[in-house]
Amino acid sequence: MSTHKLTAALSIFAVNFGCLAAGPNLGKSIDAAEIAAWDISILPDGTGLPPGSGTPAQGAPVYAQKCAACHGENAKARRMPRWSAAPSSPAAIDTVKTIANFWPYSTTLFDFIRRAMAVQQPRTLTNDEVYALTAYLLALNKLIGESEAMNAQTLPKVRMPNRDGFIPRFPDKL
Amino acid sequence: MTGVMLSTLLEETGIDPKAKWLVAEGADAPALSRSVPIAKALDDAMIALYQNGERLMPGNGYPLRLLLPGWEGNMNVKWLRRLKLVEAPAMTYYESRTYAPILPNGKAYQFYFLQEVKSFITHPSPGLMLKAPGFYEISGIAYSGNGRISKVMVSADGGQSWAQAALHEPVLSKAFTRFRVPWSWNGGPAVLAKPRMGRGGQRAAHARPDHRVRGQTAKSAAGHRLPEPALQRRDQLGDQQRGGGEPCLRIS
Repeated sequence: MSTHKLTAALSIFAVNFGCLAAGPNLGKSIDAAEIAAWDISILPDGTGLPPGSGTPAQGAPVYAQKCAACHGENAKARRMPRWSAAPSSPAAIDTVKTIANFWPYSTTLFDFIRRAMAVQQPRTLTNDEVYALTAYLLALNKLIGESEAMNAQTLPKVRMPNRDGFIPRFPDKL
Repeated sequence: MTGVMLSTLLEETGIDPKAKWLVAEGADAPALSRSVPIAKALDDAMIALYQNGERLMPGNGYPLRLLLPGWEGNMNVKWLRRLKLVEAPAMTYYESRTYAPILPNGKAYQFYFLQEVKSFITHPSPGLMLKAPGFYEISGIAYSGNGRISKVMVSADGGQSWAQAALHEPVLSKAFTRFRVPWSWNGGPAVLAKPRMGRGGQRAAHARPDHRVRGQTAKSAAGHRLPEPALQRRDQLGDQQRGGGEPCLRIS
């Protein structure tokens, strides 16, 4: 990507925010449609979550087809970042981090599965598939019920057990 | 690194007062993303285009890369494709999980970011044979994400005594700083200890031995776990070997 385009990418947010900079007016604004495919970051409050929905039952076959080869049946494989284990808070410095005992926000699941999975074909899952996989993994970890659907409204409301288990290392840098 | 200061670009675009963070995103397969406080973006962040006088190498993020001096290397997002200004951190995979070290009490550090004072010895190095007692140079690298290295102390007896090393000029803020100190090896076991460093006259509190040249009878410390935050990996342990009746030191 050229600096020209980067400046333009920055510009669009300035425009969105309603700010006009006093400068040499380098670059140009990017059309919203042009940037839509890149606009995949999800915030913990659910900002950026797309339309769509999925349940654990819908996620199970997708998981079996597209995830289990690496992550193992029921996400028990040890050789990859683990998705499922007995829920608990980290007890010691060498605790294996899992969704249930570590991840502070449920939205990170959707964000990362959509942007990075499956590893050989990232960003090929549909939004419904990503919601379904997210629901499947949350249900495996007993963080939601077996029949709960995940969507832009329900996902940010899932309270992760270790939400308050973090200390900012350098608060003055934030 | 050479490039455009991010503050210059943000000055051009303007920043909404509501924006407190930016999400930097790469064009690699998983579109690696990290959240960066606006204060850092406006301080010394750069959009790097060149390294060592030539365009960035592909593996280093060509054509452009975010550079956050003194912060976690993973945050220097390669193949930068987008910066999005946001009100709150995105809590991406890498800041939620990977770069959040667990403490002994089960809590975890979040937004670790800053790489504080660290050092390592590069000479003598693993695999090097010292064939005979005599003068050798101990040399290594010291750096701090907080600023400029002002002093490096080195020990060759496990921390019982320390000598001040010479610093290779120029000594720049948040940059690798090479140090060197002469060492007379008497042929016996030796423990080269982690330098103690200070910035602005302050001596760093955590000075731990990390580079050992040990006798064969010495107990391995490989399984020893450091107290919090236990991020520093123990350097490999050295072996002393004797052959042909002459003292011979091999660091492995």
